[in-house]
Amino acid sequence: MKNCIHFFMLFLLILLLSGCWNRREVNDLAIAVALGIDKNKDETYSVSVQILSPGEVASPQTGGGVGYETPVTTYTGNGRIIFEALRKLTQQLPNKIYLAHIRMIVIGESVAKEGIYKPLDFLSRDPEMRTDFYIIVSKGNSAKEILNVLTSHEKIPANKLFDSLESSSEAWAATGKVKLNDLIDDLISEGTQPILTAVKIVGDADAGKNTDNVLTTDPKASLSYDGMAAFSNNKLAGWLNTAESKGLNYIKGKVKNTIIVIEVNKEMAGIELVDAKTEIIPHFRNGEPSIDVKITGEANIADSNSQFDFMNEQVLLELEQKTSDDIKGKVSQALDKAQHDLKADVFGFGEQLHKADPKNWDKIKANWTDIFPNLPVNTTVNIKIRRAGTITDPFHNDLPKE
Amino acid sequence: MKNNLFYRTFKNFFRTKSNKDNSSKGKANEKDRLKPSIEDNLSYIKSALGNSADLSYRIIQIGPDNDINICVVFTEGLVDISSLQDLIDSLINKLNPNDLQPTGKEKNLVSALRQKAITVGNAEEVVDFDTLITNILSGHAALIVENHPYAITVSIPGHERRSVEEPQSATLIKGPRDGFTETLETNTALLRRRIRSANFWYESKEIGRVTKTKVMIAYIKGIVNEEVLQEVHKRLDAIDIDAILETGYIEELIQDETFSPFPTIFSTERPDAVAGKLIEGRVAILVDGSPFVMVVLSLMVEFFQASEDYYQRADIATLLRCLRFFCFFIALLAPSLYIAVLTYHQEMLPTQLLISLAAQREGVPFPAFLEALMMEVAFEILREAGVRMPRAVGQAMSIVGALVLGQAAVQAGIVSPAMVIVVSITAIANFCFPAINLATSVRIIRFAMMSLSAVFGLIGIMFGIILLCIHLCTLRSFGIPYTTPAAPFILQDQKDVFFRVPMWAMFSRPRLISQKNTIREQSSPTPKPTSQKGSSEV
Repeated sequence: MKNCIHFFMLFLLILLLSGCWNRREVNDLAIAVALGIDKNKDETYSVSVQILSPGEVASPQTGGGVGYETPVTTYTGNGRIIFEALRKLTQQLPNKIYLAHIRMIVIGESVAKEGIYKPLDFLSRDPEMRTDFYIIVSKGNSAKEILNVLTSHEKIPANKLFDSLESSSEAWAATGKVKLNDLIDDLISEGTQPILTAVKIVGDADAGKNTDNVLTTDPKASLSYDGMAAFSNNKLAGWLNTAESKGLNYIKGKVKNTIIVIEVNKEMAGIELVDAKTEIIPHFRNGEPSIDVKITGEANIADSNSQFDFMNEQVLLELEQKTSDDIKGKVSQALDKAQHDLKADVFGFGEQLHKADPKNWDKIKANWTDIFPNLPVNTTVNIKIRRAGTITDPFHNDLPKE
Repeated sequence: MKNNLFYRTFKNFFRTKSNKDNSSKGKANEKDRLKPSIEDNLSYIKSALGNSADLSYRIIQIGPDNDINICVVFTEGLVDISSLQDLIDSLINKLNPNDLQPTGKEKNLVSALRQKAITVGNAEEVVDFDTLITNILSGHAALIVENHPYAITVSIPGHERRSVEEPQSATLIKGPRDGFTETLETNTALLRRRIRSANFWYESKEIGRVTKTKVMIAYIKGIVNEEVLQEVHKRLDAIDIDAILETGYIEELIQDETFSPFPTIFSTERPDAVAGKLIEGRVAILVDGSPFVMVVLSLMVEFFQASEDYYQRADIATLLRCLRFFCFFIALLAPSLYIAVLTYHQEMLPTQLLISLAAQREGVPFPAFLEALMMEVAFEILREAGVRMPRAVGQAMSIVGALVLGQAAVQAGIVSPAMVIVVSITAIANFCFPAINLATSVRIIRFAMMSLSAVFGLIGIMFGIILLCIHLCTLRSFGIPYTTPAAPFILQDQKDVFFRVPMWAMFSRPRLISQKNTIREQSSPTPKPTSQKGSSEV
């Protein structure tokens, strides 16, 4: 009997353990996959939520894909803070919004210009959020318009954005995967300014809302990444184009794989950079900061529309030199843009200087925004071409002469 | 303890049993001696047995002048007819007149008969009715001689018995196919054929006031744990019950813990399994009339060990052993984990999986717990019916079960397809254990786990697992911790838990079981190719 009472008391103790805990059936969830944050003219936030309808997304074998509704629906609510806007949405939705499966957060250009830290508080405070989503900025369109575009191949537009960001940053290197924690780290750091990938709608934004957009081989509207957005003091400072974005990723060492097109005597060759490494060496010389950027890497010949003789060492050395020059060019474009146009240390040079020499950094950190535009940056690039694919000489050499 | 309400309410329920039936016991103690007259003896036996219809007797005359009347009494169906014929034949036709003369050693005619004339069976002299009747009822033919207050009972048992067949409850691919039968003598012989040691001993007991069931204790002297053996004797002797019809009766009467879902006594139909356990120093209990033999001092890990593990190579045996432990957790936790994740922890699922599960559950009217409970109960019904039903309707059962419960329930939108998968994998995993006792305990606990997870999610499951661990650690089987060699961790005994090491590495017996004579192999070969390099001298 005593044991029974002890057991029961022990059992009651689990009630205290529960924490953030709620029972709800999985089919009663309004699963949100993307969140878009825009700013209205009256200083309120307009929060768009992409809610998916599981029955439409799942495979037909499990009773999905009936075609009654679109795979996702975007609801928009207004509020002075994000939380208010989200809770207001319960008036439109059958269920409470479930945020744990958010894949993408799109920050509207309007918010980016005003300052991005305010909405971020809710995103990092809410216990339901899993914080493994990526954050991007809409360029030219509002976040709501981005979330309204239906996509082919991937029924969930948020997943399309997520996968596309991952694959493009792996193989093209002009985009950047930024998660909430990275963004907040960059925001609060004195020596780094945050950057986010920019997304835009290619085509007619209104046409993207309709299922007609996915019932065609040539969608009228599609989502595409386009360079990056640089921030300065948590406000949008300007846009980086593709070349500048690549240059930025070279400096940050985030290039895993990309291609470089080089031109020699009006003949082109495609080089696939496969293993780039970046070393940033900060210096203080007499209290004056400077940065050496060393980029080394290996490359393959991927494409050639010319009569290069790849068996000739001189040709390869020339290609290597041209490849290095191209990278150097992109890096200096990025440096030029950041130092002279945006005046924002998106590379994190300040952070590197801080780590290398905290004492000297303390002396200059107050003036860092003034020092950065004139910071001397030496770039050295050394790329080795290792492989030429499955053929050596281009077969053009053997074509019958015209 | 004794003051609480529960105890007081049920005290009578527990106590009343021991006060009954004492009258018959007292009667059995007074020994009526046999009388000189055949008629008197016969009428006593008849009245004692209530003129039972299966009692047969005939009176024969033997001796050179056919002047000695002998009454042969036996129970029909319990004696071997041809042996009985031989017995009567030897008395009537082949009797040497000299055999009837008591010489110096034999006291009388009956002794002379027993020692010289009777050629079959195990003959003993009986002077009291009690023994006489017991012997008649256990397959003896009784010879009652005129004018002598003695009788000879000749053991010629010959009842109908099932032949040795492959055990139904534990089948295997590689290994011996024989199984125990309902006949005690067959079972003891099956074990003796495997262990031809002079140290392999049987001890016999009779349990059951009415049934007088023969129970044998088997062990190997010198290896067996003497304390356990004494404890077995003590517990068996303490049994006071009218009937023992199956091993299960004794199991419940001697097990350490009644209120536990886990079996603390291992029982099997396989003689090879029992022999293996005897060699490890355990004690086997054989009950006449049951093809199941109990082995005491059972550890939890034994219920994961199949005899086939030792007949196959060590690597695959190890993998299968690990698979069984894995299946234990599937069978125990799969439905509860599914419920917990689906109703509390949706954030733990990958997005695609969540979408697919949510799509499947669209339109399902019940909460996940109720859905799981329905399916589990339906499966239990199906399984119970499968065991009890007549074989002839088996096909109809399986069609109804598979179609109605699987397909139709999903198509009707009552359960989700994922739930059917979870319940099926649970059911299949439940049959992976070599011992069916453990499967039943898992079945019971599974429902408790499901309820816990429905109320508290993963926290509830963890709570359940912790309780389960505590419970398992308190269990003892004949004094040895049930979770040995895991909970009192014994490094040497790990060779037969998750891993089944090769035979040459099994050099010692489990430590806590035998406790003495623990060396199995002094030096075993670990064969290697001979070192000659393809020389021409071969």
